[in-house]
Amino acid sequence: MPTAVMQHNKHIVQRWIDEVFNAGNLTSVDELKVSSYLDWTPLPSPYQEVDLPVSGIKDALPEWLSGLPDFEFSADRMTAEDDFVVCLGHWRAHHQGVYKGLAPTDQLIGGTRIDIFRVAGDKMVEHWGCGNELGFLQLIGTLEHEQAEAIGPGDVVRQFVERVLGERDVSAIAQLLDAQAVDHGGSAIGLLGLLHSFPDLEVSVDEVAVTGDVVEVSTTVSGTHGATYMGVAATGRRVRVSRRDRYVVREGRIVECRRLSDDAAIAEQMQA
Amino acid sequence: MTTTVSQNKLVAQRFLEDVLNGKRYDDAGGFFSEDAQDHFTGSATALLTLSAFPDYQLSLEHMIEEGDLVTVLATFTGTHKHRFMGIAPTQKGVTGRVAFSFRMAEGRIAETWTEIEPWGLLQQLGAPGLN
Repeated sequence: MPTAVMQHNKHIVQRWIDEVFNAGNLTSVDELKVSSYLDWTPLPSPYQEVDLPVSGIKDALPEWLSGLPDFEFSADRMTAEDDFVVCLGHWRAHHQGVYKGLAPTDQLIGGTRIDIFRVAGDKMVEHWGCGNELGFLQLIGTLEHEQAEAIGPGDVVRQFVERVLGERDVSAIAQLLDAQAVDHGGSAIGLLGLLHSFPDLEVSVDEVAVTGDVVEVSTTVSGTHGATYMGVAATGRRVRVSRRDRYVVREGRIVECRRLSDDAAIAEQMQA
Repeated sequence: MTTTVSQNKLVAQRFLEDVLNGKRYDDAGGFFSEDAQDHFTGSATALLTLSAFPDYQLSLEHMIEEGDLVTVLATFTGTHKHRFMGIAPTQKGVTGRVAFSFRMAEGRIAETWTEIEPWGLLQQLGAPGLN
């Protein structure tokens, strides 16, 4: 497909973001989406009763924007191939108006998304979207969560380690991590590997050292070594591994994480 | 239409097949460049979610590449064997979607974005509040 067409397709998606989501201009909906628009994204429960793809969004959007008046969606990267457009984006909003009958809490919510669109001519025809909107579900009470309290950087990290890593509590992520938090080196795949190798994994916090917004935490990870980890085949033994991580916390949420412990030392501990 | 698959797409495909579907997490390191960045909120949500369905299998739906960025949209099936968002294991089979974007540099993954669709899963598990 010619580059000019792919550029045009990106422009259509960018217009959707700017005109409909960010400016609340509902007349652009029919201009940018075909009436037979196919949306493969399961809709959050408040929207299940509406035909969100084309007509429903005209009802849902004004309510959304009056509840979250500073809502802003930003496209961080956009790519295109053939008739597909990919948008990596993030959104933020403060709950400053009444939404679904819920009085304003001034809570900051946000999320990141990967959206994929198919464009034909001047309109979007099909969409698949994946995004972490748990903070939104928590706000409107669809998803239960512990009330977020203003806590210091050390406690944010302690809760993250205990609830997210220790208890696999996915719903705590939205409260403890900034939507745009970045991990250096370790990556979430390391976490998945750890949970695979130690299915009964337990995590305990040994020490938390806070310097300004930087938090260094030492943890002990223990579990039954059930699958190859760091090159060491499953031993079936109970293993305890120490690790050290550094986090940066801003406005009560983690914005950066970096693993400090040395991998070789971990493998050694496992063989001991 | 060309049938040639680019090098970067092949790396992304192998990562999904070998490391994720093959559960060879120990091999993950070889796919990433030193100090690779991970957009952690989406990735931690997605991968912790997958960890609750440990036998998950991804099936590639679309792969879109431009420049150094490869995006993969996959469907997955798995069995609910660990606690997920407060729901004790139900042993139910679920199906869902997950998307990965990889920024590639010299054949390795230098930056990752991962997003999952959680509420479809919550609905399938019969979460209270999501009917």
